[in-house]
Amino acid sequence: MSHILVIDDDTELCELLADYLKPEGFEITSVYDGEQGLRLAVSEAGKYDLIVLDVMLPGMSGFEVLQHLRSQSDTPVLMLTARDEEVLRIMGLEMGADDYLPKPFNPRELIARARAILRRTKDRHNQHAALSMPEKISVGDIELDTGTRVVNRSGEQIELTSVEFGFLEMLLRAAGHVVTRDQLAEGVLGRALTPYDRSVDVHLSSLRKKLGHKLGEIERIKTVRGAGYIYVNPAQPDKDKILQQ
Amino acid sequence: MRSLFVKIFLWFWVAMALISFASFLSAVATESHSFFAMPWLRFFVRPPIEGHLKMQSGSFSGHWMSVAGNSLRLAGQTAIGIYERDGKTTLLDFFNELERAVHIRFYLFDEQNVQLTGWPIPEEVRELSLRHLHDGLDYKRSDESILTVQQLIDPSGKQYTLIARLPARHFLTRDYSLLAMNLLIILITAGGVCYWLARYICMPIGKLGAAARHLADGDLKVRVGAVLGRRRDEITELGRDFDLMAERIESLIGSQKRLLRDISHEFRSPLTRLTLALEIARRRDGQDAINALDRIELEAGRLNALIGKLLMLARLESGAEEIDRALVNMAELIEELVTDADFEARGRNCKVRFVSPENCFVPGTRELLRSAIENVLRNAVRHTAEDTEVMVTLSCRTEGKSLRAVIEVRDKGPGVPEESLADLFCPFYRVGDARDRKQGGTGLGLAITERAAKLHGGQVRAANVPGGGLSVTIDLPAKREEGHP
Repeated sequence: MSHILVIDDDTELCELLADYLKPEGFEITSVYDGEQGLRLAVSEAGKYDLIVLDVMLPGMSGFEVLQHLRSQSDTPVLMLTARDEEVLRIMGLEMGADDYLPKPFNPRELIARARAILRRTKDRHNQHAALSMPEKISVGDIELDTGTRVVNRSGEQIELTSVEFGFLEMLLRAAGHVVTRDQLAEGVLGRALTPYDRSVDVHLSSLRKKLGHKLGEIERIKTVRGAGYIYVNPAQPDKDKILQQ
Repeated sequence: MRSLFVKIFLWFWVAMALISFASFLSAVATESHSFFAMPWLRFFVRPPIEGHLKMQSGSFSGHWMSVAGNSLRLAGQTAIGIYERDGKTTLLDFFNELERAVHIRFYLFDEQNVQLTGWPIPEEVRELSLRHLHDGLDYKRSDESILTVQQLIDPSGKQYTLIARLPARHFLTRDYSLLAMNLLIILITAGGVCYWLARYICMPIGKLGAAARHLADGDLKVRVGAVLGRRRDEITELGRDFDLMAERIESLIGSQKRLLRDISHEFRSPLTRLTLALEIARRRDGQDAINALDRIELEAGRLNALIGKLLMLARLESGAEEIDRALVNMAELIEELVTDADFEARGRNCKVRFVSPENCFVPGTRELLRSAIENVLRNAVRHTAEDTEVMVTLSCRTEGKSLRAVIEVRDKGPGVPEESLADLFCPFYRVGDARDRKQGGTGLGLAITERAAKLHGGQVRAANVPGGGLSVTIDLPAKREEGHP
């Protein structure tokens, strides 16, 4: 049974959520304001598998809660946002939220996303526990360690959220080849993309920002229109040049 | 602003110059003596003065003339005294000294018309002395000099003739320069005063104008009270009124934004609860209720979409929406949307195809541009006939110096009656209402597209395509260069 901490000031919604999620195998703890939620999330860090966090909270906002939480714990966070506040959504993802859902959400969608996040973290924990071949992937100036989950650029460590780390890992493994948006969504977010869903693009744009847009003269992560993304393999363009000569 | 400054400055300056000049002239005209004492006036009115002087040359009338004549006579008497007492050498010294001091050269003749100084006599002096003997002429003026003749008698009764030569230019230029100096001082002083006056009037107006422009650009915090300082007049009053207005606008727009946020929150919270309750009901109830529950879900979804669109339209129209100026890669943006729309279209066995001969970058807010294009695209997918294709084209057009990104979405649907084309972009306008509503859509999409395009400095047009179908064209100001870092 997975334990979910819901931080939302809408008490009636919290009750309904508890009713709805219990038969699906989730245990719900509800907190109605940010400060109390943060206190609980930090003090009982190991207890919760997922935190569902509303952005619009009285007093301490959802972002502040997320910011404080991320400095102390990496419990997965699913943010609930107002639909038309795209900027806020991007901000949330950049600050380390694992996914977001616009309010009002489809409850089935909430379950799907929650399960996807839980599956992802479980995989990670299993990997950790088994230490199944921690790998070091190194492409160009980037070095990614799947064991310690640390990313270095030219020896300098870069802080990535777990979703960004997942995307980068997939892109690096396929460096020089296209990875489609659907592959990225299924591989990292653990779910299929719905139409007009921008989560992959949002995560990638923040990943680009953190890694630096350019690798020398070329674009680090190229968008292939209609297909997906390519992490440029710095070894390849050179090869092409040699071939051309 | 600048030109008002120049106008005020020039008007006052020229007026001051004219007033000083006129008062000068009137003072001169009422004082007849000084009128003749003004050698510069001869420059302007030479012939009559000259005639006047010639006419009266025998008697040297006029105040100045008589004073000058007396001075010359006095100098002559002194010279004669010196000559008779000390002789020729001392006389020469005296004359030389006089010439140095007042620039007048003296020639002294005795009764036999012998020149006592022994200086060479210039032709004009000799001529005048002869004419004086013959016709009593005692004044002669040429461009270089003024010559006067004085008859003098010493105490013993001996007769002498004194001819004084005044270099004309020397006297005239000195007076001119004095006058020019006077005028210059007046003009400079007046200029300074006028500059200060013009600045005093124009500066606060300029500041007020700058503040108004800032306000128009969306800086609602701008105030002028502090900038205008402590003066108290109509202009500062205007400034205070401006500040009151700005404050009111700021609070209105602020409360509008707050209201929109609150509405968004307050409408959506019950909707969220509704959908949750719906799912719980689904679980508990049997087959009987499923149709009704599906209907509830559909309507809740529509209500939500409508709230979203309505809020967006309100934001666009209230001016609360601020436009980014980051360059948006249009080809990339449209590609993303087309991929999604194509997925949606497949349900009706339709396709969406995207052709972009060249890429464009539009400075603006990505999200607004996205929803502007998305609305048109989904509209086209909804209305295109089954088994057809929706064509999306992006092209760059140069119009004069500016570059435009032109996005055309063309469907193969029934089109729109010509007379309704202009109304397509009005909120809640529907062409054939009953059928349309069934196809979904809130009736706000194209209105949002139109407002968003306008906010980016562009426009939207709709036209029927010959052979069936509707073509919607979004035309936005663009840039060609790559905006990405």
